[in-house]
Amino acid sequence: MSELKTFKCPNCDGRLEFDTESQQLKCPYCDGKFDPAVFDEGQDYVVNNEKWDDGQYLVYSCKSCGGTIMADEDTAADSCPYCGNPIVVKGNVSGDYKPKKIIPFKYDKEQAKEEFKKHLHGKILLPKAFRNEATFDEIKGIYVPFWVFDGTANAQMWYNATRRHSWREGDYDVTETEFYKLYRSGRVSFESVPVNASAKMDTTLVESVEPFDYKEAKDFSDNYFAGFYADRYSKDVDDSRKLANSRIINSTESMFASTTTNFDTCTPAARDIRVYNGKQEYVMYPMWLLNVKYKDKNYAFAMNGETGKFIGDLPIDEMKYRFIMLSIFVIVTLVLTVIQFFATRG
Amino acid sequence: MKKIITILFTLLLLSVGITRISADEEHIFLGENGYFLTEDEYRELNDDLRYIEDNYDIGIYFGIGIETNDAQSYAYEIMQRTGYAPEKVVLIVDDKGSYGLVAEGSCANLIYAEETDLWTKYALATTYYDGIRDFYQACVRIINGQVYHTNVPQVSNEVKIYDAANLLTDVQRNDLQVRLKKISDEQNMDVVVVTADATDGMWINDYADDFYDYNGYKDDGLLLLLVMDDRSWYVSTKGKGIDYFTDYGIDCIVDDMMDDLADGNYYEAFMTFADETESYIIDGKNGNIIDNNTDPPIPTKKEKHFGALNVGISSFVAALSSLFSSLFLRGQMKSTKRQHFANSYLVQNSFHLNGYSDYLVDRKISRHYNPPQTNTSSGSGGGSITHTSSSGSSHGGHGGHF
Repeated sequence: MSELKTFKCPNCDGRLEFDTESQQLKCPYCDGKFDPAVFDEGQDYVVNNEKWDDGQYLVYSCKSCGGTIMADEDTAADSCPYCGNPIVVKGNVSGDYKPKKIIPFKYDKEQAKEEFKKHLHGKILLPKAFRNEATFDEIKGIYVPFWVFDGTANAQMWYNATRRHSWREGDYDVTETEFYKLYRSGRVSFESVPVNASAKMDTTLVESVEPFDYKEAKDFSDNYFAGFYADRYSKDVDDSRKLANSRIINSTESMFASTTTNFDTCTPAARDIRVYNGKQEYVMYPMWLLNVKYKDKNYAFAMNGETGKFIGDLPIDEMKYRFIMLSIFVIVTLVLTVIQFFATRG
Repeated sequence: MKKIITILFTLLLLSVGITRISADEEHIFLGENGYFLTEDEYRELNDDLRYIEDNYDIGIYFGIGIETNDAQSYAYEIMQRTGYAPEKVVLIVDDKGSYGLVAEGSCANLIYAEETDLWTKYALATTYYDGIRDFYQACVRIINGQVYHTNVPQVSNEVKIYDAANLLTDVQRNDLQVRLKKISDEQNMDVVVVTADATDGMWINDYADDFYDYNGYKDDGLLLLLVMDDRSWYVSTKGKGIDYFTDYGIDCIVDDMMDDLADGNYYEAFMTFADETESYIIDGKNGNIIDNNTDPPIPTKKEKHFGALNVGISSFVAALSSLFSSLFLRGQMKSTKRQHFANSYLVQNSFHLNGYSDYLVDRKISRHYNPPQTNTSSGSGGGSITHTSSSGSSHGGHGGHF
């Protein structure tokens, strides 16, 4: 059994969507605006006929138009493919699946498209055809589930270090090498280190748009989902904590290493780093995603919906690349040769 | 008397293992075991010191690398047993690098007052040859009068021909000034011609160096000095001038002027100097430096300098350009990366060190025998031998008689 939530304007029954500029739910028809944190009107809970289709999808019928909506079991927010009405699968955002916090989108679809164009701009090696293949309209706003962890690292570090002095005595070069054992202990804290909690999302892509600023997060309300897609978490919290802690440990090591700089060489000899985790939360962070198929290969692009950071690897036109390298080589060789020729002639 | 002293000094040096005594030397000023100086350097320095003793009555003696525990007493011993000049200076440097300095005569106090400076001149020079030379030149300066460098005339740095010996007519002087000024401006190097009746007791190279240094000429350039009382010439070079005008190159230029100089056609000689100087500078800028192992430039030969090597250099630079462009262009296309650190999530001011200690556990000392390089290239006569003038700048140069 599951419930769907749709967003209806209490004034005119129009379809409400989240507006990034005002950070409010907005009705495109009557311009009514509602605070997503408290919006509680026009809710329309419908118990739907739920059935498995091939065991992979859950099938709902749209309350607005009656169309069939298919969603997988992780889907938390979607829209009706026929009428475009945003829907929320209540069962995936409540109980164990209820996120604690959410960072609302600060960049809208138009800005995301703009950033994508900027991302392609000035890339000489980009194949011409790729620009045509890329359909900006397919860019999707997705709330990606994250586990965030606080952690304080208590560390003891041991290093072997040397310091060298040289001077001259008569006809001799004298070098004195001092050998040190260094000991450092202390602690350092990190907060809200995010770990991708969606098995569907590529972790490299998700980590590439970091950082997210947890301080911008609001208490969760499914009203923020209006107009966007969302998945519930599908990765284990304990595995995720290990990933967060390994990042905390790496950073701790590098911070302690920065206290040993007044030596000529310094190598870590031993370490004892224990991470004590504090807060551990399930949150939703906003990302714009676009997949472009080019020559049978998928290119994924992502934008941080909070900071606007846009990333994504681009295909390389190898013919163009070889042509450019060859041209540079030939032209530089010719120019330098001619210059040297005339220079030697005086 | 002179002979006996010489023999005594020779025996003294032999007794401490100093082996470099050439048979034709009649008077030894310099004792060393053949390790610090080349044959040619040794002979040159010894000749120079003899010249100083003969002409200035200043005897300066060196013992370098002597095996002794007390360089100072050793210096006293030498002082008492050698030399006849009224002014004497002895510098002994022992094999451990300590020194003893003893002076005698009316200027001894002046030498002692400058002891540290003198030792520094020796010790800081890049080669033993330079060190010894700088040391005794400084001694001669101190004993011969401290107002040494002010002896050169003061002129504007716009003056490119200073004809104190009155060898040229006004018209010729004017022509030459225009010609030299044009070269100086076009090449951004000062080319100066100076004539003098005498050098007022200064050495001709010091006079030329100081004239150049104290009259505010450019950092790069050269100066031709003619001194009429002993009919000597000297060309002092500075900065790029040292590179472009090797001792051999200077000889070539002066050779071409020699007939005119001997016949008293000074204007023609100076014009030859101007023409050749200009072409040497232009060649020098193009990397064609005239030295005794390169033939004088012949136009047809120049093209031969261009060859496969130049193309090789070009393609090497081009390959590097391609590599860097490639790294840049391909790097532009990649923007995804796993994050292995959590630095963005650091809590401000949460980093606290409560234990911090550096224990010194061991200390090792290694010694490598690495004697200073002696200047061997001067022996073959190539390049420019440089020295430091009284103003502290580096000069090259070469001189002779006409």
